[in-house]
Amino acid sequence: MAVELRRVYKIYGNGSVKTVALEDVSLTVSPGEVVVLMGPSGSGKTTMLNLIAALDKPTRGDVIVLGVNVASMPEKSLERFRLKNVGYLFQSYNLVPYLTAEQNVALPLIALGVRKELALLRARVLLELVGLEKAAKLYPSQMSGGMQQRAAIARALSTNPPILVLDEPTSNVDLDNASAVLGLIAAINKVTKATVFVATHDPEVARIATRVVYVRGGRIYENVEPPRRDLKIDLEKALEVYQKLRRVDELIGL
Amino acid sequence: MEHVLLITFGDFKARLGRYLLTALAIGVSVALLVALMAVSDATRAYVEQTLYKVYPADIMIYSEAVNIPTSVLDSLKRLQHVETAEGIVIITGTYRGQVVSIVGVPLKDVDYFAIDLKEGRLPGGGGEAVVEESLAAAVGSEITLKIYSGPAGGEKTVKVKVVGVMRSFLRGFVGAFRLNLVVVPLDWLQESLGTGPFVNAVLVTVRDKSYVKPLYSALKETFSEAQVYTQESLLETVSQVFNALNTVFAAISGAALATAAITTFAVMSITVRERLREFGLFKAMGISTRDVLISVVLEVCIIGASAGIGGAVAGFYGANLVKQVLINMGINFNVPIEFRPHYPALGLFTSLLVAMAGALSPLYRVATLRPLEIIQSWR
Repeated sequence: MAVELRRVYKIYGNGSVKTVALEDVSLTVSPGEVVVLMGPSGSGKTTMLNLIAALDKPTRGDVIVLGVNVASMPEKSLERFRLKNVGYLFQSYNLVPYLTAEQNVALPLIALGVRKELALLRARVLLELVGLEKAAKLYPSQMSGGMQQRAAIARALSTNPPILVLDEPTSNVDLDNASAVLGLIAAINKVTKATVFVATHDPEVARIATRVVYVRGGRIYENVEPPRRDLKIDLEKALEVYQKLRRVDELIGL
Repeated sequence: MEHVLLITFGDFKARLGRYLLTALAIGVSVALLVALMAVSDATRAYVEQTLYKVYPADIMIYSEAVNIPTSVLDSLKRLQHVETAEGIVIITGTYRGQVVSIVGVPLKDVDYFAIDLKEGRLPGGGGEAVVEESLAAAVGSEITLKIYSGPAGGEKTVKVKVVGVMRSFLRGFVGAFRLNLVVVPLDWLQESLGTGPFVNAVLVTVRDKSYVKPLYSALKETFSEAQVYTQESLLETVSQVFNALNTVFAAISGAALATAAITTFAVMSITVRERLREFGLFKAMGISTRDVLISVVLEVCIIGASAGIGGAVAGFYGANLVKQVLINMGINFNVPIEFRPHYPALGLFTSLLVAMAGALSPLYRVATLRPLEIIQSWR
């Protein structure tokens, strides 16, 4: 299993004021799946993402990610675990403003101990994967919202993580860019075989899902495998860039 | 560590103006500290050296009133360990509105006083004088001095003929201080003042230096109304004065450094608050808290180090500049301000301490920041 949630509870607050964010949630996800979490605001989907990304710990229950129970890991180990295994795309503010696109993408890899030159090399290939090969030297303020979102996806892929966690990836981009972002996520999933979790309000995102999990009131009330739908994916280009990426990875030893 | 450097220098570049101003705030206070210390060190060294020079005597007896009988000199000279005993009169007067120090010296022992002539000759008899060059009195001119010989003596007017102009007296006694010395024959001065065979200062040199202390004690007992100094006691007094002065300087510098620490605190608090999202992002990415902290500490250290070194250099050159300005203004403050290795060390240490003290609370905020509290805030 890539991820397994076993009877997970997440309760915020203490004393008389308590908010139950997740209640008795269990979920099993296989490697390579694209799981789309859907539900209204406050339903608990982001809490689930945070637990899966090892950013938070459950109040009760187990969160097994790549065979490790992150609920019982100390904070220091969790940091390392996240760096190596989880690529997170936040809803907003994904890029460090004073670093160029390639530096932003390379940063987690450098933090992992890869030499800066090699990390930048991989960053440039990742930027090519997301169609930003010409924007490598641009700062976030010099990029459009769509470009920033794609650069952030490239950064999430920096350390070649087996788990990708994407929070509302299409919320801050226009329709054309949203479609491009979805195609990109699908292509990345196909070529990297990463397990992808996406939290969204947008029903369009379900087009890339191998599974859609509906969450409401902190509980999973539907867990379905949707029918395959057409999505324009430039898989050929993605595969071509991915081959390049693998060659860089051999150099780095990823 | 490359990612830490990437973050550190990236942010540094982005906020260069702000960090430079912070460094400037610390640097100015460090410069003040170093300048005050350099001036104090130089003045202390100069005064001590001058005192050594001035002291051809091991012991000096000084009285406000001219009341030490010259017969005492003969008694002192008869003592086994005493090499020389010279009696002089030092009094204050004015010349053309300037305060002058009039010194009466015995002509037979005039060499003892090491008068460094610039032009002219030494006094040969009554009514002749050698004046310090600061008085701008020409050789051959006649000058009128008003003399104060104490409350009882009142004010007298005497005329002397300038026969020589001197650079220094008693190997540098003039020193950094403008005394405007006028050296005249002792017997003539005693006669002019009507003091009779009395002096108000005695310079004693001993053959065996171990004899200084017992002789000092004996003289102190004998001349209970006069002040008796030895080189050591004088240096000790100088040292005490400078220690007191340094305490005042330290208080001034401390206030400036505290202000710099508060400035650093304010700037780093604002910066950390501005960067919270960024820190949250780093931590969420998996960059360790330790590395995030190191990057901020590194920035604080760069600010502190540049302020420290810059401040020390500015302080040293600033002290020299102030000295030059004082000299140009006609104030005789010609003390040699020399560079000492502990100035940059002190500057660096102090500024790093100030910068870190100012950054402690913001650093604590960074250390305790949970990525989730930030991520939730930017939804």
